[in-house]
Amino acid sequence: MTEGGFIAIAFDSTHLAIKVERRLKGIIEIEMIPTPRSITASCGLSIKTSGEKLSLIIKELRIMDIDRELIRIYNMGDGKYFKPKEISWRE
Amino acid sequence: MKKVDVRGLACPAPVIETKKIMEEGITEILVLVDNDIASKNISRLADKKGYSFSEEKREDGIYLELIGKNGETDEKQKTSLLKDETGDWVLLIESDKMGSGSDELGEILMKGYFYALTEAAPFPKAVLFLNGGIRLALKESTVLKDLKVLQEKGVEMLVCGTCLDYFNEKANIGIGIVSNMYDIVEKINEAPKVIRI
Repeated sequence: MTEGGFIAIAFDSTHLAIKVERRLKGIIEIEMIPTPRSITASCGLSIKTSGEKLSLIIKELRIMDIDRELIRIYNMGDGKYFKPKEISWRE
Repeated sequence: MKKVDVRGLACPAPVIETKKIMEEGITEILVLVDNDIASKNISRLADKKGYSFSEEKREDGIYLELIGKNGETDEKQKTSLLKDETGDWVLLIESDKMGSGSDELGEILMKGYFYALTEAAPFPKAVLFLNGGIRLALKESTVLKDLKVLQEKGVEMLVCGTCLDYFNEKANIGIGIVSNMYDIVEKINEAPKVIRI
């Protein structure tokens, strides 16, 4: 579903965004970005990465000792005008 | 007549797609949208760019017919559309961090600023990098990708040569031209608005 596009991981906490960025950046190629406007709620920070890395990201997030309710993952499609679709990732 | 189907696209894509067609110099455009907001926004764009606008609601969407006045798509119009891309203001970057309070957060904010700036036309005429701000213009800079996007849009990048020398980073410059204080003074003086970050 996300192949070829990118995903945005939106956070409700700035500190959590930084914590997750630190963990992921050594593993996969990610970019910290302001949360796209099309995603309404978040602390304002998101992690952008390739859709192909989705399963790896979910695996990493599930290992981490974090409040999962504060993180939402969106399929952003292949461009900035795609309507984001939330991806269910919590177990 | 050039047809463009923007149904299913979220705002502001319908307007941007239509604007692109106008920028190609096409005078007769048929835009197919699926909501009133997109129709209204395109109506405003048409008005701004000197196109007539008519709307027809059908079962499969709203058909918008845009006609350039007297078939004018001359170079003048093209130039004015292109001019929309860069403004006349100048951005002065004096640090590689945005604001004070936390350096870690300051770096994230600066990165976010340039990321968002690439999507917010009109762009600055020039970005001037001074003091610690020059780090953003180095090869390993985290905002280099965004600066390249801005440069492609016509934004000038001036990096303070004295500062590169002071930090011993002359060999590591990743973008822009090495500049002196005379150029920097000139850019600031010429700009009606200088934004200091």
